[in-house]
Amino acid sequence: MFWGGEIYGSTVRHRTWLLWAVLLVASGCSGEGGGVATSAAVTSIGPPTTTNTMPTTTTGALPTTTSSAPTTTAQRIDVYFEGGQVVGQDQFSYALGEQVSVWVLSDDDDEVHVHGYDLFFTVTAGVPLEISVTAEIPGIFEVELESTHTLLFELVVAP
Amino acid sequence: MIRRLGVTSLIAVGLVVSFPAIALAHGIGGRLDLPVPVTYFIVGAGVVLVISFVALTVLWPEPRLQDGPRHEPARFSIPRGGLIPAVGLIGLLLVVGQLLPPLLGLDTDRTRPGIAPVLVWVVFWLVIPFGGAVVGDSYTEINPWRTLGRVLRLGQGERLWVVDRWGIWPADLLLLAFTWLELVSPGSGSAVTLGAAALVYTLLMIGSMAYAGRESGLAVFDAFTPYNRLISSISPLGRRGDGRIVWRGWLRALTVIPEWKGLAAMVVIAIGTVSYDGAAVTPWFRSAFGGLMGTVPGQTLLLVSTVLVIGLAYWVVSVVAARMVGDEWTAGRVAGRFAHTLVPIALAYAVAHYLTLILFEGQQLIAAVSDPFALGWNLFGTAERSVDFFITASEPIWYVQVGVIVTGHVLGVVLAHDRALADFGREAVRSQYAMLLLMVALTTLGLLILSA
Repeated sequence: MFWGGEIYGSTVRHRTWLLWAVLLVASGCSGEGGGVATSAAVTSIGPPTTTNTMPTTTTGALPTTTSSAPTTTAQRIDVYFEGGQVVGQDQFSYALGEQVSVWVLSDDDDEVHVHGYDLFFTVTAGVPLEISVTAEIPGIFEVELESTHTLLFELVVAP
Repeated sequence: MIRRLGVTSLIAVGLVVSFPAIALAHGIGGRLDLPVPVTYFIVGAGVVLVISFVALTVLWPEPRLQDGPRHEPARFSIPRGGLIPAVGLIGLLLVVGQLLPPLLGLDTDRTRPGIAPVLVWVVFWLVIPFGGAVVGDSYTEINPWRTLGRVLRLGQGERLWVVDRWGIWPADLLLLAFTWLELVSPGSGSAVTLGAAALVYTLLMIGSMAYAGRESGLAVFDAFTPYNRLISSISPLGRRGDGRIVWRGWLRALTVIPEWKGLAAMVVIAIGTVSYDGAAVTPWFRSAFGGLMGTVPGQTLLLVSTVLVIGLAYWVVSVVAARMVGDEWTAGRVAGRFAHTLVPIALAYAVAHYLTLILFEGQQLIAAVSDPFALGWNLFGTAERSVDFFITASEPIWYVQVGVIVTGHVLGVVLAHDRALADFGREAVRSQYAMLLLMVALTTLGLLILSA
């Protein structure tokens, strides 16, 4: 994948990513619905030395708006925002009444705005954030990084 | 986390910055309609085809609408002057006033949009023209720049040659720029961007009125004056010279719209920009132009290209019709004579496209009046009111959307038929094949966009 090299660069900030990737490979879990996460693991097996730098997990720093992330299994990431680029599915579709769960990872602190539902989630750089909403309003809703109005994905709720 | 959004936005104003992944700007809301089920499309398109071919044979053989409005006094009257111009001016001040909080260094609540987006993109851009299509031109009175011109005693002498020379081409370009701000600009939802844009536009209007005279200046340079005149000409109601409300008769006012230079272009821009906005969210458009959709210059290119494609189609139709009816007709003259017949289609496109925006995002006005500048106020106790998405189900909206598009098509066909009878006489029916084809294509496209 073209973004593999960028995401798993040498900066300290990216070590968290590596952790997730390594955990993903170790557990052999592909992460349901997270096509991106699966391919991330495949492309990101870096030099073995980097595994020694495995930091303590950042899951403790998860903001209160997310549900608690699993600490033992791999974290699924559906949409990445990294270096100004959005990587992931364009749309996530749910039926009315279903529970939306889309995991987002950003390399910058920002707010994620779910339009229509008008929900704001605070996202911290390098910390996975779950966009968790009950799909109760039918329509197609933009989910943006609020400061730059960058479209992360569209939430499709079919009646 | 409150940021200096205002200052950032101010810097962003006027800059065409290429964002790596920008959202589809709709000015307001960030919500899109779900596609209309395909059965609605099939039924709608079928009705359009049948009506179109039946129209060729059944419609009247002599022109009926060309002698203009009838002016039968209505039983009611709507007072003129006073409050309505003041309301327009207050609206403008509220939008331009959005520049004050960042200038004064006040912190704004980022979760509240302020009153500017809903005022500009719902009330000013949709409700006033659509309302005008029902009750007759309401913009002329509410137009804040005319009121400002009166207050400032601008443009005492009218320079009519300005209208003759430029037609409404300057207004056309400004209308395109306005739709760019709505559909492409990343700052379309930002109160500060809108405030700055309104300030620039106000200065432009003041200059225009001072240069060309109040009425001539607005007719040539104010995008919304000719636009609202076109759309409101559909209304059976109008105002006589003495200010009295009159019944004009259906469609009659449309046939006597002055044939300004650039009239056809305005209708084309109205249809093209809405087509772009509708098409841009469809899967086939995204897969075809996905790369361009990601950047501001790319979206700008697509917006302008869509308008040009619609314009080209209309030009081809005009050339074909001109060839059929004889030497004294040029394509340009045909294009001008038939521009008004596309007005119902333009209005139908806009109503079908923006219906849910008015119904849903329009509700933001209730909250915004309590906190117009997003400073945390709660003037009327409604600041926390959120949008109720359940005021209507999807099915009635689909019926209205398809019904409006089909109705617009029928009115367009009727107007074109009547104008052709008046201008071309015996060649009328034959000359209309190309026009009918264009209208069927436009209507099918409109339905296709709704259901894609």
